[in-house]
Amino acid sequence: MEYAVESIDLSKAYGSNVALDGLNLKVREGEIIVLLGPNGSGKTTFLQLISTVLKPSGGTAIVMGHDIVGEPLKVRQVATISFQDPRGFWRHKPSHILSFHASMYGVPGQNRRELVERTLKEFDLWDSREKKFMHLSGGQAKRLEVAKLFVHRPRLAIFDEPTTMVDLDGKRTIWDKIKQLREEGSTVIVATNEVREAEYLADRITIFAKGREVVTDSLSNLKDSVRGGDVVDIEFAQPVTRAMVDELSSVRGTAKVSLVAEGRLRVQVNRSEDWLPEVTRRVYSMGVKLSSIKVTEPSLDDVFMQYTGGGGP
Amino acid sequence: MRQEGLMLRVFMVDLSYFFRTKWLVFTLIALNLSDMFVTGLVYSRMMSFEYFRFFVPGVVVAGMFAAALDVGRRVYLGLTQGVTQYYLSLPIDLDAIVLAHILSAGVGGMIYGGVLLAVAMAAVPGLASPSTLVIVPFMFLLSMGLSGIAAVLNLFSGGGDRYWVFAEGMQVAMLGLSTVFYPEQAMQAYLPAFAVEAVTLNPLSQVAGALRGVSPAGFGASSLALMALTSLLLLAVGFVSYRHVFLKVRLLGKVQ
Repeated sequence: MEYAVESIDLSKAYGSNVALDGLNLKVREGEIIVLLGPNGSGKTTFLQLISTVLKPSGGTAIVMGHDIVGEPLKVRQVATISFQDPRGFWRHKPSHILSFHASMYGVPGQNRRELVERTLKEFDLWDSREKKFMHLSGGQAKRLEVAKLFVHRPRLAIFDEPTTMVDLDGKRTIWDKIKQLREEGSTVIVATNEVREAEYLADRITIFAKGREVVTDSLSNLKDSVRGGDVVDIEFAQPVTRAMVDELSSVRGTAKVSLVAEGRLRVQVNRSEDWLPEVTRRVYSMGVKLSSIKVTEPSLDDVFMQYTGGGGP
Repeated sequence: MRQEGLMLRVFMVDLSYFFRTKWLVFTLIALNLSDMFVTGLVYSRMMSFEYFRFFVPGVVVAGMFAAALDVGRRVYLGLTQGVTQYYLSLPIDLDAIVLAHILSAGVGGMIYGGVLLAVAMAAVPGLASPSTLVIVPFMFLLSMGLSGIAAVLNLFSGGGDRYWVFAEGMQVAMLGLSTVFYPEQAMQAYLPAFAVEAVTLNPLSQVAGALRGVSPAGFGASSLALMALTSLLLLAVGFVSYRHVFLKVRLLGKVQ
């Protein structure tokens, strides 16, 4: 299978401080992969390495078929990063900054003006078009930083915390634009601290901790992998007996059974979709009547806690 | 897209930075022109016209020097505001970024020094000859060379606030140990031999000397050749220094 990005023992150290520790990560072409991790976990370092802004201390990565160590210029022709902190020419206007960016990727002059105008409008920056970069608010500067990638639509679009400092409306706009970018054929990598952003965007999620990849999978698989992560509240039409608790405890996938009230049990299970049919069959054979069943899936926070042992994204 | 085209775009942005800082340019012009006119008008009773003739080319050189050195300020701002990292993320070669900065220093110094030269040509009869304009391309070359000094400052200041201290110190030293404002004889009378040697080798002395030595027949070929040689040497130092600064950013994420 062709990968958009394949890192091979990729490492970065600043003196004795190891920021990225032998990362082997594969990003599939055409997907949105979200890197989730606490501050200092190595997300930004990874993004800056694969966009060749930083040079690795060890290992390498192949980006769209090009080696980041041997062919950095070719990598930069296909991959573009939107930085965590907005980078702009302080005394220039947003339209000039976008126009410069487009020109550096060979967007022809006759298309540039219209493209820049459309992008400024899409990112709600049209009213601020006469302001200098240094006079933009934090949210406006961040939207401009993200907008750069939409004037030339790179094959690999890299976003480092694309919605920090951006208001709720702006966040939704950026998320939808990122999804649109993927639909138009780009591969997208997003690093974020926001669980909601990861849930909204990700085809797959990679959890980082201490410069290493902890796990990579789809959101649903990650939730399923949480031991005892699904919580099932069962209400019976009669008081709960010891025999009923023992019967439920013996079902495969049961992590914990707690008596909540006289006729109610709370059961933590690994995968409720596998567990429930077996439980209903056994309860029926015991002649016990059920009043209601409510299933609550684990959140991405729970997933994160399981894989990192806390710290919070 | 070809690297030359991309370099030209970075060059244009960098150069426009100098001319967008209009209050800085205004202050520089005010300082340079007031130097020129105050000396000429207010002190005319205390000094001879000959000193004015001597002084005005010095002001042209000082202005060109300040404008050429300004690239160091722009690179300093680029380092602190993250613009350098942005450049490093673009599909442009590192050498092309370096050349763009050096080229913008050359053009900035030439334009700024050229404007002062035009004023000087109007103020000093001896300079009012078309042959004086021969020095303009050499001012371009020298300004590119002088950006090498700014590059060394950027390298050793590590992108921090120390840059300003180093830059001020360098300006004072370069102008002080030159024949920009004082004749060589005065230097010989007061300074030790090694300092006099430094004054002679100082590229600012060379360009000021060339401007003062201009005749209707033009400049002495040897003074222009020496100026070009010094400029190319400094330019090489500048190229290596800026390359080192940007490689350091790629290695460490910052200069220090």
